[in-house]
Amino acid sequence: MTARLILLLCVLFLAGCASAPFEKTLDARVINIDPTAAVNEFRESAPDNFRMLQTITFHYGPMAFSGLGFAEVDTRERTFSVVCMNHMGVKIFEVYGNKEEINAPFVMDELKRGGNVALAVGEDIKRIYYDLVPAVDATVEKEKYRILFRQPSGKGIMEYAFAGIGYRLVEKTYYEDNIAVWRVSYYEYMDDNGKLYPGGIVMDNFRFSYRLIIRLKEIYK
Amino acid sequence: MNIRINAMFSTLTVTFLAVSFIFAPAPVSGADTNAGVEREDKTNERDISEQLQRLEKKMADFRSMRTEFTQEKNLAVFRNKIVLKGRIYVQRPNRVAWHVDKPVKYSVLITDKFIRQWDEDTDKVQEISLSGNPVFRIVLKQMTAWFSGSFSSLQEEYHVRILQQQPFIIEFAPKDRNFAKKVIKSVTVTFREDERYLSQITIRELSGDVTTILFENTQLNVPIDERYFRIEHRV
Repeated sequence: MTARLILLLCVLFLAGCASAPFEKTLDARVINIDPTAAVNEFRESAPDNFRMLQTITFHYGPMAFSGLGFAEVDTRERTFSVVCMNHMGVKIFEVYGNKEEINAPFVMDELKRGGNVALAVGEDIKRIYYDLVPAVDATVEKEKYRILFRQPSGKGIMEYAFAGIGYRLVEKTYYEDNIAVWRVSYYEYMDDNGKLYPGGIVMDNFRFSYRLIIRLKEIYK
Repeated sequence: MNIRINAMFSTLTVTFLAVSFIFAPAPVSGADTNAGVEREDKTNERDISEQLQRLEKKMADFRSMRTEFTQEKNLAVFRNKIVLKGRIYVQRPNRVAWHVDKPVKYSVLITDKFIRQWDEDTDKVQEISLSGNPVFRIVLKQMTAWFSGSFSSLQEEYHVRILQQQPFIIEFAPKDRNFAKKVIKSVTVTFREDERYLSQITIRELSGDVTTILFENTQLNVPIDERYFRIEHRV
């Protein structure tokens, strides 16, 4: 019985610590860093309108599959368009969103059986690309290597973690009742014409137990 | 919700592997409804059949083929085109290996027994057996028809028009009963000057998206290393 319990705990521990396939953000002490300045600097360097090609890998339990994603996002206007294709360039779905609604003009029939794909994709895109800086009245807490900002969001709390050499956004976590519902982690920022793009993004949805791994392939002018 | 995600993932795995092939047809059933389109000029049809058979004969002597390809996808809603580059290997009678090299690495092998794929992101090999899977068998038949030049067999599923003689250009428009009709407007095939193989395939979708696959450095009847048909890891 004890052995089973230990095994179960090990499995749960390993599941909870699934590592990201990107370089870990380097530790940099934040004791002397002004949180507001760090956020402002990051806000200035974050692109608000971009088009890019990415690969997206979906993990769910032992299952995983990968595809190509072409995304156009305007964070200021809060609009996005995403086309997902398989590796042979065949379109799987196309989703658009604005402030009011999310639409899917094309979803492959086979995918429709899985539920409202447009809504699921749209929500994840918003979590990943929108609201990358905390509100001015967010609470601030400094850890050794991270600055944490927390603010109310919907039914829960949104937590932003800034860290690394440039004190950039490395994690955005949404909590309800003190339990993490989802988390987006940003890795390997790269500079393109003065704007910062994460080369790798991991989104964990703890409630529905899936993970998205997004790798940036091309930024279009 | 978990059940739905599970169902979606299972469906997607299958979709990504096979159903999403551009040329996937429906299992043949029922008749075309558009009588106007169906009433083809029989004389013209005979002429096209003869032309297709002539091309088939020209392409018939190759047992193996390897080519590089550049695939350009122009999405109707975006200004930019997506470019994929890679290699295709065909070994008659029924093996097609498709390797994408840029901007991602991906490989798929289609045989008469199974479809097997690998991609660098998941680094997993996935396989679907074709036994007891008639739809996939038809997919395979279609894939090999395009790449091997068995164009006559496509006449059952496509309306065929000859657009140009030199170089030879043929347009295939899916018939109503063809599954591809829901997505594809037409497939245009351009031949090389010597007509021994294709130089280009253009797929026009109903959405306005256009995909062009350009074949470059095509070599016929050359030995192909078996490793290009082994989808275990990157080759």
